[in-house]
Amino acid sequence: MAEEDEDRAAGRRGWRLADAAGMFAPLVRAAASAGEALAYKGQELSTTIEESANSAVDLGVRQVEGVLRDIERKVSDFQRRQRELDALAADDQRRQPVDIQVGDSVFEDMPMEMRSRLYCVIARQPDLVDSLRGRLLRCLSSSKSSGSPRHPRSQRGGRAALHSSSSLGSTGHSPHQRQRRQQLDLMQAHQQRAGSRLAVGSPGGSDSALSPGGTGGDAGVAGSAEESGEGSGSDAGGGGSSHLSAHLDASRASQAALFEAMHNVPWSSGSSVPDEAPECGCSEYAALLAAPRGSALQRCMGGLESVDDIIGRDLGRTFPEHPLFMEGDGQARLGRLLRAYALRDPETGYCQGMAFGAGLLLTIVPEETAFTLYCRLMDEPPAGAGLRRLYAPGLEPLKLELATFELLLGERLPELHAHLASVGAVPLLYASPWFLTLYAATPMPLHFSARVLDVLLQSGCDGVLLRVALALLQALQSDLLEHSDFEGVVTALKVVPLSWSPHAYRAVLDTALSPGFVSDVQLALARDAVAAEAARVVRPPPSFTMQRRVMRTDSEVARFEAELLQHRSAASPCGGPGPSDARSDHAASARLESLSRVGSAGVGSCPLSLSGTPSGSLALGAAASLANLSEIGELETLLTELHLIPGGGGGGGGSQHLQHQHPQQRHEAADAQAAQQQLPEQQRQPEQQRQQEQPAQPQPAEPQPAEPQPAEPQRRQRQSITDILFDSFKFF
Amino acid sequence: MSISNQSLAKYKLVFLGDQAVGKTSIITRFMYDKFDSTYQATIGIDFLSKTMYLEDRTVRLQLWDTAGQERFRSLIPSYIRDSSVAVIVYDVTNRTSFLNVTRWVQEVRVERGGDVNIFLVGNKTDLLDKRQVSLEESDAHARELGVHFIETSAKAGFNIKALFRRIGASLPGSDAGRGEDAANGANGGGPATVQLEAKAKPAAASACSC
Repeated sequence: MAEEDEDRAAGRRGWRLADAAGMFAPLVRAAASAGEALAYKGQELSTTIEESANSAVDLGVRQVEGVLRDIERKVSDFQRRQRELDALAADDQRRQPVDIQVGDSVFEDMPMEMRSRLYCVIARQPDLVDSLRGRLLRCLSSSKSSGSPRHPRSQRGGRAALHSSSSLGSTGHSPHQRQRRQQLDLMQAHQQRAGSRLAVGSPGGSDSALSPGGTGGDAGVAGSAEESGEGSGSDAGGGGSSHLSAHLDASRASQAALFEAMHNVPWSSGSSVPDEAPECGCSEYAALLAAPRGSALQRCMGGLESVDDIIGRDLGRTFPEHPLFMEGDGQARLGRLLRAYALRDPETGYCQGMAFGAGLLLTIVPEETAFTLYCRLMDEPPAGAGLRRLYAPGLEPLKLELATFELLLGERLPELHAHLASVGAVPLLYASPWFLTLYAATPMPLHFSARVLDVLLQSGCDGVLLRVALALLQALQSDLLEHSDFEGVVTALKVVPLSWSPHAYRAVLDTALSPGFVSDVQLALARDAVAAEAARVVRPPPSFTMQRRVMRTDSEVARFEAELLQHRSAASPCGGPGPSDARSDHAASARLESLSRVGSAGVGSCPLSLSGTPSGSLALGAAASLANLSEIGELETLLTELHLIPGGGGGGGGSQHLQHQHPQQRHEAADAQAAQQQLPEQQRQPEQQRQQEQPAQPQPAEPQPAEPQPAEPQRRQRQSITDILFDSFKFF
Repeated sequence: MSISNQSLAKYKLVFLGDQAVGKTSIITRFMYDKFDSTYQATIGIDFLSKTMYLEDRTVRLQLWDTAGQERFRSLIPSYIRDSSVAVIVYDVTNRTSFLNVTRWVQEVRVERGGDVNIFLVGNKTDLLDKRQVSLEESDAHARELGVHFIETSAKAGFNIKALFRRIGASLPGSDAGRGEDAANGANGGGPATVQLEAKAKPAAASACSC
């Protein structure tokens, strides 16, 4: 079997071999021809491939270009849509119901229109809002001891009114009609609440209905309804019931008159703000706008650039996401307003931050009305809220305000204050934008800032900025205490408010404006203590020395001198809301003092030894300062001190440039006022001289003495107080 | 996160320069790698921080953004005081901002003497046709002042990472930094392998901060 198999297999192999041999020749031939063919085809193929590759590349390039164009288009579409959405969202936000402060009442969930109308009345018929001022001031100035704490009265009637207004809106009524209807609803609701039988007042009868010093609130404040002058802060004991009801009637009548005036504010349909007052065009604003540019006033802030340029650079950077300021028109309005203000108040000129307050007003009222109101915010009391001091060159009053805030914080929230101080989160870092932008360039929503504006405009009392800052920190306290490092604390300050609901914001403002939160007296005491402390700090730590930047001309020097003289003779009280005369005087002197001293308020750290003391010793300290620092005595002390200090050359130097400071005088320079012009580093002297374009006469650098030494006689320079004060302006 | 950050070496960078030269946009580009066509003006001082991974260590950068207007200069010295790096920004399309650089440098030197690395940054190079300050001029000026120099465009994202790489390399405690300081850094680049990432460092073992 095995052999057979073997044979068979051998036979098969033989056949296969023969077969294969027979087939080999044609195979070789075929292979050869195939090879030829392939070679030929290969050439053809490579050409084809090359061609097709070329065309593919072309195609690819075209396609890629197409895709890129597509992407570009899509991106720009997307951006456009995004902008539209943003605008819509901003628009939505603008339409959102807001809280409006009218006197000591809060109208909750009202349409923005109400605020626009209220502001127009404030600007055009200020007499109608005088009563609001009295009520608001009384609300703010009362302290815990003089009455039970009471939150601002809330008017929730507005909610129904708002609903009716929005349903009317959908049926196509004009804003004016809607507003009229809504105002009527509001008034009815308000009067029902107050139990009034009084008919809606007419504008004609309003003036007689107003009592001179403001009118009382509702029966809930009967004890303090007695009039004792605006903002006096003292409440007389209740009067007879007939007397009281007369007051209540007067109050209602004035409120009715106000509402009547509000709904009579002209408002063209389709416009986002009311119409300009008819008499505008021949006003101060028009005159300021017509003033020629490029005048000396354009350089009123010193430095290398004109105010115009500095303002211009901020226009696109003020509320960049608000639809009003996204296009040129709103920016142009803002630019005109700020330029007009800088011309009107060349000492202040323009300071970054001002654009936000002005911009916020422009979102509410037309341009000229906004200017009037802006002046009302900035002007010194009693005409305005006195905010201009916050923007004063050198920002010294701002630093004092921040120090005051820190003092009150230590008193009111000692644990938080200690915590913030321990991690190094100073008010300068977080609160200066709050104050400078009136809370508008912050995580807080615009309507929050707008209610602060309500209070500022109606009360003329800038203490609200401090109150709100304290209320904000109080609301943030638990979040801030959770973080044990600087970064965490500072981030929480910025981020936590973003997550707040409208109710949380409302609560913060209600707290800030509730009587007894921070009384006027507390505020004034803290301010006095800070001013006195700033004046008392004869030698601030060397860290407060600052370099002067002087770019000025002789004419500017002369102008500032003249202004200062004027300032002095006017001695306008500008230290805040102080209703008491004695305190205003003191505030005035304190301000002069503070102006003359640069670098004495806390920057990196609060230099005030009082900052951590309990309120008792604060009050004692403040009282002592009031007793010690009579105006004349204070100025005399100041003069005596400063006579020992070599002057900065502002007063008499022929070159009108800073005189060179001898190194030995540096310790005297530690005196707050002179510190500005001193050079903490020896090598700084020649540098600074070069920088001031002064013919260099470098003094030999001498080692800094360990002990303060009296100034060299030839360097002593008698200075008038004007010169000294002038020095603080010379900084710019 | 805060615990792990506490264990990192912290360095303070202060951003100085005239109004609207792009300080905030440089920081935003570095922090979030994005650019907005409009920024809100910085009022006063702003603070941001970011962890940066260098080749040999990880550091925490604290960025202090300042307002550019002259009036705010009296607030700034306290922020310069303990900073490791001062970034002085000017706008290549605004000659005035370039001329003011000298004053900013002096301001920093007065506060910090030689203990600070100063970076001069010419921003907005994307605005080709509006350029008023040439690269050569700025470079020469930087050499004269003895400061590092780089041109950037926060809008185009140009050189922002390079800027921060060089800042990282110049930080005290870094070998590369000492080398770069010696070279005066006008053209010297930092190490090429520096990573720039925003991710938080995992919690460190030594978390106790007391």
